Amino acid sequence: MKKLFGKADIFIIISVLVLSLLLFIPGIFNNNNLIATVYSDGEIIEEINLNEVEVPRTFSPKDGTEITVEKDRIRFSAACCKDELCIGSGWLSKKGQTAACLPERIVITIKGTDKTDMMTY
Amino acid sequence: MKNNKYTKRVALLGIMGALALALSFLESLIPALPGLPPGAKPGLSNIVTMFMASSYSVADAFFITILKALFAGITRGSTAMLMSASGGLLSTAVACILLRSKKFNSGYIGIGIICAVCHNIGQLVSACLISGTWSLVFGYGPLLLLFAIVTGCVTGTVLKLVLPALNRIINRL
Repeated sequence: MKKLFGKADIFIIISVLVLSLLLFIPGIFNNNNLIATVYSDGEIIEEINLNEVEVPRTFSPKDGTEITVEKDRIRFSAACCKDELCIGSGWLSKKGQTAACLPERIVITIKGTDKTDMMTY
Repeated sequence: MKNNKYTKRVALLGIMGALALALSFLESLIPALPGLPPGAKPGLSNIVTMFMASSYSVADAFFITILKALFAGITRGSTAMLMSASGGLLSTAVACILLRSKKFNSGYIGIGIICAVCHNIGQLVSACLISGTWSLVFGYGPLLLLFAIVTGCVTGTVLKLVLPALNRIINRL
């Protein structure tokens, strides 16, 4: 019978922590020039510079799905399925944040525009 | 009593299958926690597949996993079924290898964490394939991994605690 906790487990916890930090790093530098990219079926259908949005607006990439854009933030506002996980993601306002609607294959993700980011992504 | 062995297997699969489905339904009642990616769940039903993998048979652990995916498909739609299947199959495969290996000497907490991480990796990869957008890894990955450490500790500890009792049931069958 195996034990509950040992040295190997500490090693496992630390390596998962490090992995999570490594994935987190691309998102933490600079929050200026927030570019929201909307993908549908893996192709970019909208690129919005969130810092330049003056008038809030809503658009619908596919039937039943609605995306609302305001200054510095963007969110799913209506969903086609009853899970509504994409709406549950709430407002996206920082680089690296992502919301996905899997049934309709729509993804919103926020990126910056500086060069190091293009490299890491 | 030639059929005895099969009857026992059917009965055990029925009990464990029902337990896994009840646990995954129970999880779906927990509201989305603030700060966590929506859809992140504690993975309590993984305890059942991990138990089947460690004490019963590998084939039946996969049977429970597929049953869970079908249940998700019937109650929550085809996307949920795909997510459940991709995460579940990967984590069950890894659980079978780790729990049955004698050389791998980490405890139940470590195995629980690795299974939770594998579940997340399987789901993330299939989510990226469905949406065609690989940036999901950076958006959801870090928080899911941190959450996997917590849920892995919980499932590993519960598994260790209930194993003696469940093994007694199996031996009595």
